Amino acid sequence: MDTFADLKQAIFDYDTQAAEQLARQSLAEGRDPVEGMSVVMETLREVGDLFDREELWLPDLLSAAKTAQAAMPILEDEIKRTGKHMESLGTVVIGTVFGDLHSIGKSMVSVMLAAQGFKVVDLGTDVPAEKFVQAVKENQAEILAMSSLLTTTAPEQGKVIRALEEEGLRGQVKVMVGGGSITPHFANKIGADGYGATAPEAVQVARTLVGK
Amino acid sequence: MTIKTFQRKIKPFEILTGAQVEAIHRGALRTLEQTGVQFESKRALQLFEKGGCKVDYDQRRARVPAELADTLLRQIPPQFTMRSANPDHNLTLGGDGLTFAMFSGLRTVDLDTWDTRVPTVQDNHDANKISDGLENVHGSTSYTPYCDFVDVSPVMLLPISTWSRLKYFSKVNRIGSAVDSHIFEIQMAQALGVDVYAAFEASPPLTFSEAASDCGVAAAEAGFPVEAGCGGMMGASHPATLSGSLVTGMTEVMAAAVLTQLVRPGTPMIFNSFDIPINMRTGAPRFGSIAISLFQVCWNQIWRSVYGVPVMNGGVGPSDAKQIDFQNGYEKGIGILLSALSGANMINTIGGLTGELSYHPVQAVLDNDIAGMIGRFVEGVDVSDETLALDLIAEVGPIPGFYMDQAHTRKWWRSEQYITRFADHLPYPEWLEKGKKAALDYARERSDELLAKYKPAISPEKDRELDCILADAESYYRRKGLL
Repeated sequence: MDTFADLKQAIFDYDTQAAEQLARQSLAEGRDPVEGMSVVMETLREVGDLFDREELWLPDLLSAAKTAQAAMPILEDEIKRTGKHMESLGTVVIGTVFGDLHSIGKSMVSVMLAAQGFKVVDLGTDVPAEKFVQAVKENQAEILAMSSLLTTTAPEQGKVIRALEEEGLRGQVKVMVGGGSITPHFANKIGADGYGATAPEAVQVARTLVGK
Repeated sequence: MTIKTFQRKIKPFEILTGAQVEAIHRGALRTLEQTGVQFESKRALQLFEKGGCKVDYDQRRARVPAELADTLLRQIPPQFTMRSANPDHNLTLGGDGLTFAMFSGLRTVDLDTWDTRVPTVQDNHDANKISDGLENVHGSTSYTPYCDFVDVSPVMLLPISTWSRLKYFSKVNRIGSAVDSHIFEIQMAQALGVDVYAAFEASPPLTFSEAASDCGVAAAEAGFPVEAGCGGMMGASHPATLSGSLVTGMTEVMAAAVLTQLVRPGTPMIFNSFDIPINMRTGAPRFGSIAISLFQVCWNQIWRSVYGVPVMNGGVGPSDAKQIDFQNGYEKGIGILLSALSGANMINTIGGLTGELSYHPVQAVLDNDIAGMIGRFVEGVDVSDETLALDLIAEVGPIPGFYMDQAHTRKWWRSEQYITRFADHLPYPEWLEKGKKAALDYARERSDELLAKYKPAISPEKDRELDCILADAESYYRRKGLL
C-alpha cells in the first residue's frame, strides 16, 4: 500500500493518530514532503466538495481538517528543514475581539482556513487591538480576520482597523470580519475588505482577498 | 396585588425517568467539582475560595464541592415576588405559575417586504408601550425589545434599553449585562422603587465573563433576584448529545447559583435555558428545532424535581423563519406548548421573530394570543358539582333541550374557552365581505390601537430621574474613553 494513499484514507476516516504516524512514516521512507502536503490539500479539497454537495456536514469538514493538521506540521517542518518550497495561500491572523469570549465561529474559520492551505495564527478570544496589530506585523500577515458576537464588542473591529492605519500597516493587510452582530453594512462602515456570514463563506472570502 | 398569571393545574409533562434525572444531576455536580468552571473575574474567584471552593487562579477556574453546591442550591426559594412600576403588575415567579416575557431582536422588520432595518430608540419605546398593553405579557428579559439602535454607541445599548423599558413597560424587567451597564440599571430600578432581576449568563462551555459575574454579584448585593442562564450550541459549545448538553448547562448555572448564594444566601433565582442545536450546514444556531424543546422539557423536569426552583425557557422564543408565516407559527407554537406543559415558570418568547435577529410588536400581539391559548390549557379542567352540571343536564334533557340561554352557560363559557382575539374566526361569507383578513392584519390593527391608548405608569418626576441616571451612564463611559 502507498503511504500517501493511506494518509488520504486516514483523513477521510478522521483518524488523527494514523495521519500523524503516516506523515512520519512517509519521511522515514524518503518520500517528498511537498508531495505529501499536496496529497493532504487535495484530500481536503475533496472533503470540501463533498460538503458543498451536501454529502458531508460541518463536523465532517472540521474533523477532516483536524486530522490533516496532525500530519501537516510534520511535513511542513521537513519542507523547511530541507529548504524546499511549498506554496501557501498566505498568512492569516485571526481572533475574537477584546471583551468577547465567543469562539465557535472563529475556531471553525481558523481550522477551515488552515485546511485550505493558509498559515493561521489564531490569537484566541478577548484579543486587544494592540495584540492584533503586533501579530500582523510579526507574521507579515496577508489577512487579518476578526470575529465578534456581541453588538457591544463589534466596535472593537473598527478600533483595530484604525490601529493598523496608525501603525502604517493598513495597506499591507486585508481585513475581513464576521460574527453574530456583524453585517455587510457594518463591515463596509468600518472599512473592512471582506465579510463572511458563515464559516464556509469566510473561507471563500479569504481566498478572494488573496486572489487565489 | 400581582399581575394575573396562569396557574398550572395539570401534572407537568415529564420524559425522563428518575434514574435519568439523577444521572444528569450527578453528572453536573461531578463536572462542577472535578472540571470546574472558568470565571474571568478575579473577585468571583476570591468569593468562591472564601466560600470553601477550590480555586486555581492560573486557570481562573473554580471547582465546587458537590455537597456545598447541593446545600446552597436547596436554600433558593421556590417562589418569589417582584415589584414593578405599576403595583398591579407585580410578578410572582415559581411554583405552578406560568408567565411570558418579551424576547429580543437586533432589527425590526417591514411587514410587507420582510426587509430588516436597525430600529430607532423611538421604535423601542413604542414596542414597550404595545407590550405593556398585552395581558399575557408579564415581564421582560434584558436587551429587549431591541438590542441595537440607530445612532447609539454600543456601550449605551443596555442602559438605553433598560431606561426605555422602565419608562414605558410597567411590568417586571431584567437587567444586564455588558461593560458595567448593571451599575446604572440597578440605580434606575432603585430610583423607581421597583425590583429587577439580573442576567448571570454563561459563555459556554463552562465559562463566565467578568461582565456576567459582576452583574449577578451586584444584583444579589443590591437585594435583587438573579437569573442564572446557559445558552450552549449543541454540537459546538455544548456536546452534541442532549444529556451531555444538559450536564454542561446545569454545571454552568450551578456555578452561577453557588456564587450568588455565597454573596447573599437565600437570593431568589430563576434558572434559564437557551441551548440551541447548531445548524451543521452554516454554523449558525438552529432556532425552531425540536431539540430545543427536548432540552427544555428535561431542564424543567430536573430543576423542578430535584431542587424545586423556578425555571425559565428562552430557546423556544423565536423561529428560524424570516417572516410571520406558517413556519413561524408552528415552530413557536410547538416550542412554547412543550415548555408550558413541562413546567416552565417563564417563557421568553413574546415578539421574537427570526432567531435573535428580529423582533416586532405585531409578533408580540400574535404571541400574546398563543400565550393565552396555552395558558388556558395548563389551567386544566375544573371538575366540581357546578361544572359537572348534573342537575342542569337532567333539566335540559334530550332534544329539544338547549344550553345557549342558560345562566350556567352565561357564567362559564368565557372562562372555559379561550378566545384568540387576533385571529380569523369569521364564517367564510363574512370573511369575504370584510376583506379576507388574516391574523397578521388583526394583529397590526391591535398593535396600532395599543400604541394609541398607552398611558405611562411612572410620574414625570420619576421619568426625569431616569433621564439623569442615563446621563450619568453617558458621562461614565466618556470618562472611560468608551464614548
